[in-house]
Amino acid sequence: MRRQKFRAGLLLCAAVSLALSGCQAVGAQAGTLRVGVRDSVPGFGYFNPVSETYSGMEVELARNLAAALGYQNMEPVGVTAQTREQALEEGTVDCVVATFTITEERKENYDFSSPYYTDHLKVMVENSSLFQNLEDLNGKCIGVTEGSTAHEFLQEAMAKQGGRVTFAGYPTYPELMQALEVGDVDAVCTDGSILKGYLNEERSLLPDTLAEQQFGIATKKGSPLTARIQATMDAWTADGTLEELNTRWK
Amino acid sequence: MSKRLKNKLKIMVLVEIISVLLLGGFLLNLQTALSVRNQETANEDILNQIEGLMQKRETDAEQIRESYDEVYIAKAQTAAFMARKITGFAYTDTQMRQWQTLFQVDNLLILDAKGQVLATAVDQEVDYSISRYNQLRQALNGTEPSKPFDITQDGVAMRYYGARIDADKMVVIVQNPQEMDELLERSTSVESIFGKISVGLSGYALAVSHTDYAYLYHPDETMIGRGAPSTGLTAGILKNQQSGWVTVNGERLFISSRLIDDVYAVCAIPQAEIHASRLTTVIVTLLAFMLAVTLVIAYAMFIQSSHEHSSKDKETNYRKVGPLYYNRKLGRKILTVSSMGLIAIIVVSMFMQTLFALSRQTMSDRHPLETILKNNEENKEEVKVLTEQYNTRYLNKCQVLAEILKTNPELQSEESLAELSRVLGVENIWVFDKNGHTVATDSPFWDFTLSTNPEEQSYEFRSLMKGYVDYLIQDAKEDEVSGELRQYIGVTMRTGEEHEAGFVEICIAPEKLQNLLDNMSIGSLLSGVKVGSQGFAFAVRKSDHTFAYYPDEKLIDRSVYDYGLTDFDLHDGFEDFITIRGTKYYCSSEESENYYLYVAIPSSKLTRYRLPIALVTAAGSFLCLLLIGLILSLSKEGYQAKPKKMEEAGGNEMVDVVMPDGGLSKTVAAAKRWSGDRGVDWEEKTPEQKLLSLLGWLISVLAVGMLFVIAYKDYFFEPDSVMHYILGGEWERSFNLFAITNAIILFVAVNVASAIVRRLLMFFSKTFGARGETVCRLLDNVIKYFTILALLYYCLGMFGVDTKTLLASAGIMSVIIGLGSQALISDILAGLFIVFEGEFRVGDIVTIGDWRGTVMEIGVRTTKIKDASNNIKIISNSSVTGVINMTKQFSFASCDVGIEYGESLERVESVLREELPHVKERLPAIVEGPFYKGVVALGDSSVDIRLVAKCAEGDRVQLIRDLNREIKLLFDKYDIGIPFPQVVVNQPVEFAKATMLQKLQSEAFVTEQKEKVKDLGETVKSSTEEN
Repeated sequence: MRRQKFRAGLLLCAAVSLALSGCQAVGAQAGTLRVGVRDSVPGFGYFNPVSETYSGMEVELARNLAAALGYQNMEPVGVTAQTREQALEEGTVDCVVATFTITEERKENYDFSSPYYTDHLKVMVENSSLFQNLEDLNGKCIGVTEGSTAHEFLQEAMAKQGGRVTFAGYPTYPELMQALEVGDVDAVCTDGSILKGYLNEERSLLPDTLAEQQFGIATKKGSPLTARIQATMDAWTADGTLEELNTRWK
Repeated sequence: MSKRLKNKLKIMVLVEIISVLLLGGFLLNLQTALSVRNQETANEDILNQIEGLMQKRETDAEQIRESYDEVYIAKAQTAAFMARKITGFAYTDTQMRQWQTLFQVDNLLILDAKGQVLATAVDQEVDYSISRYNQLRQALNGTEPSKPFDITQDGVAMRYYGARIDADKMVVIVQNPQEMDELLERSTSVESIFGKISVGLSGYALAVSHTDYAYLYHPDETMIGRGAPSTGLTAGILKNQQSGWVTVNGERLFISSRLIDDVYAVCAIPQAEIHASRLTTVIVTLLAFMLAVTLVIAYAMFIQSSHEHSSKDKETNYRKVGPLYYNRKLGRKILTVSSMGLIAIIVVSMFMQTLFALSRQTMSDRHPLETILKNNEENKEEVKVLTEQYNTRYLNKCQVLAEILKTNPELQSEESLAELSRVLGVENIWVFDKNGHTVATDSPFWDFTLSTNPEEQSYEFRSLMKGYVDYLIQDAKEDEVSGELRQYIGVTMRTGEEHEAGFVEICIAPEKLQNLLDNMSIGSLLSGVKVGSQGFAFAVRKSDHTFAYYPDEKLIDRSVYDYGLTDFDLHDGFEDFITIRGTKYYCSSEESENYYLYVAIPSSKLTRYRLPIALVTAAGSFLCLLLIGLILSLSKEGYQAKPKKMEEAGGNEMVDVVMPDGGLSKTVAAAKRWSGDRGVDWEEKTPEQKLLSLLGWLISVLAVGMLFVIAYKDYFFEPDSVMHYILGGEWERSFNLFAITNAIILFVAVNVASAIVRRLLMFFSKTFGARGETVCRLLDNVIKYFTILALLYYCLGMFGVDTKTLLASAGIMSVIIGLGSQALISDILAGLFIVFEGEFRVGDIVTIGDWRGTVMEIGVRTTKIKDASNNIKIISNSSVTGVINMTKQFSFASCDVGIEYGESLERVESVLREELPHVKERLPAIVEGPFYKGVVALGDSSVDIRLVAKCAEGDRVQLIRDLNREIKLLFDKYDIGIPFPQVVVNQPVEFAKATMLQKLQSEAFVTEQKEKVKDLGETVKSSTEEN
């Protein structure tokens, strides 16, 4: 009888300690990690309007991250290039995994993990415009997504050739692509991997590569998550999980 | 059964259960592994097929686009030509609108080099100067028209065609390419490709976009557009491009995927299908295994237990093996039974594998065949639609031409027509006057006149001149001179009221249309079909029985009879093996309007896993049987004397018989075999007979189970499962595996059913007495023969024999049979008369000829009679004549006794009066009597009196003996003497000789006496002896 009591006590202790440790891990988020992901970038973050689900490499990364950090759920929150910073500021998301390029300027405002994807800026044109290279674009209007850093690099590249372009900003990729389709813009400039998703028989990418873009997981400056995310990313980089994820979605 | 034996039995049963479980699990896994591997290679082939189709789709789409663009480019060029040629052409919106109607386009406009709109049919606020339209301006640089391109705005696509007028001006045609898109959608969409792919029985092909991972094609339409990862088909699985198991929407699937262009092609087959056939195969194989093992165990038990009872077991039968003793005799017997069991297991396993492989194939062949048929039908429609579309396009060309030439007669020169031919994209142009003579042409036949011979091709166009029709489109025909395909279209040039007028005729080379139509031919349809691993499809023309399509082109258009096919193979729903050019294929056929379509699989591919599985099963069974055999035949002690001898059962059913080879064998007595209850006392049987009985029971149980399953097959098997197919009887009627299987099932089932009915009859016959027994035995006989005949007839039907003709010719047959089996028929008829006239019944005592005995059975053909010595005589019913039936009324037992002459008859009679009633009391067999019948004879040495008693015929013989005994005892009691031959010995006496006188006197006496009786009649002394 005494022995049984002793055993019960031990169990209780274990349960309590387990619960406590669980609380620590989960924190105040009640088991759900809210992650800002893109909803219109096939291959990275794409919201399928028919099945109402998110898919893509970044979505999977976010899901794995939530699991690795001890969260029960991952709630994808659709963000655009424009709204992702705001969402982070307002705290509607805990972190952002949304083709967020790491720049020095952004680093001042947000914490970034080490990059999980390296990309290059590319320019896409309609074949019917007969543009072959960057030189042809001199004086043309280039479409970019609002809030992206692409225009800086393109202008820089154009300046090297003594040219200059104007820019038109669009909030989402579908709108950007529609502008290209109807000819409102002469070309679009954004991350190559994103452009691939919109390539078709009547469009092509210019051969010029503008700048290397590295995507990182962004958290609010000073967030307790930053270090833990970085630790996870380090582990994944070391054991090849990240590389495997990249090849899988290539 | 000794304790040791019981323990052994327990171990045996345990070993059996364990081996069944082990073997079952192993077989299930093996079967799954093999099925999966099989499916994997099949999937690989299907993916190759899809890849081929996807590539073909590219070229097809290219063709469709090209032929569509060609039409509109021609229109733009014609417009440009007119603008160029017509002097003082006005670039006005009105003119554009006219042209828009003439050319049947959505918009037609004139642009200058900067992109300014000079004139337009439809006002649109489009800035043509932007870079998006740079492509159009390419036309200005040379004579070539611009490359067409699409711009989609608000979901509506517009296609742009530009043609140069001069260095500064161009015609632009804007057209909604809906017609082209629809055709592309119909013939080259992902859905049109994947929807036609069949994977196994219930599997399907899926298409997932590589870009956004949404389903491009799924048999369930609601799934199309949904994200594949969310249903379980994750990027990782797709990316692997390997085969494996996935759960998609809760359904477990075996899939193989491959990235083709931008589409993941996925072959998916439900787990249920891979598992379905495997379960039945394994269960049947396991049943065979269990049967074999159970029989071996039971046999060994029977032997051992019979050895325990008999002391025949000699110590010499044992050999010491290490610490154990090996029973050689037992071992040998077990080995025999085991090897028989092993062979049975292999046969059953092979049989099941083949059966399932074939039925699975037949069923999965249905899908591609149906798809081909469906596509063939669809293609027919498509051919019609396409021809119509193209005719409309060509007609428009001609109409445009007619319009141009009407308004600008100056263009009716060879040069202008040649240029017009070029821009319109036609071969030649003719302009005819109202008499049918050529006015102008760019062809070499400048003096061509329409024929007046209705047989000739050009005659038809006379109706145009007469004004009966406004246009005429001829079907494309091969040109008589060049052999190339040419099509002629004419449009009248009539203006206003005139009846007769000239017309314009164009000649077209409809290559593009022909290409498209070729893509829809049966050959093109079948060439894309891949069935399982290395399977293919071919078609045979119904009209002349030649190959319409075969993968090897050499065979096409050759007669099928030269390549191993026969008339027997050429029909709808054929399913069997055909050997074509030395290779055996398993083929299924389907009939279409013009063709027999076949799907063929090399038979080697079909049954390649048969042997390994059978061997594995055999090896497993061998190990198990070996183990059991060793356990049974080895024992710790050698020979044990078991004095305990079981009491011999009283039955006499078992008889020792000497076999031809001199051996002694036990057999069931014939009487036992013929009598109603066929059973022999269990204990009486030899181990072999016990084994046979056990086998019989087990098979009966299995058969009953099988019958049950078959009766409720809809409940046990899915409607489109393999078992349902086998039992459903939809298969080909010929000597094939399905027919054999069903014949076996039917045979066992009918036998079991008839056995049950016959047992029931036997049971009833006991209740209903003699007549019932007779009828039941007759019925039993009838059932026996009828079932065999019916089975034979039915099975022949299943084997493809035309039983109806067989029945029809039964008239002739019956004559032949009747002559040959006259005796049989008369036997049967006689049997019927015996039964229904009630001459005698089973159990009656009868005398037939000189044979007296009890009737055992009145059969259809023979009657069996057993005499008092238990010998059975089998008499043909027709030979049953002069029957004395002794059971109809009571018989009399009569007994004659002799009394000495010295005895007083009156005393004897008074004694009998006293004693006869007591005799009756002592002999219960007496029904009435005994009665004193009086003196029968005054015998030589006795006065014979007779006693009779009424009794049943069956008791008569014994009663006579009993009566004799009673009378002897009675006479002894009253000192009544019964005479018997006695020999009295006398002293010989010296006889005196007759004197002379005496001699003379006697001679005189005889003579005198003779004289005296001369007139008296002679009286013959009658015999007093009578019975």
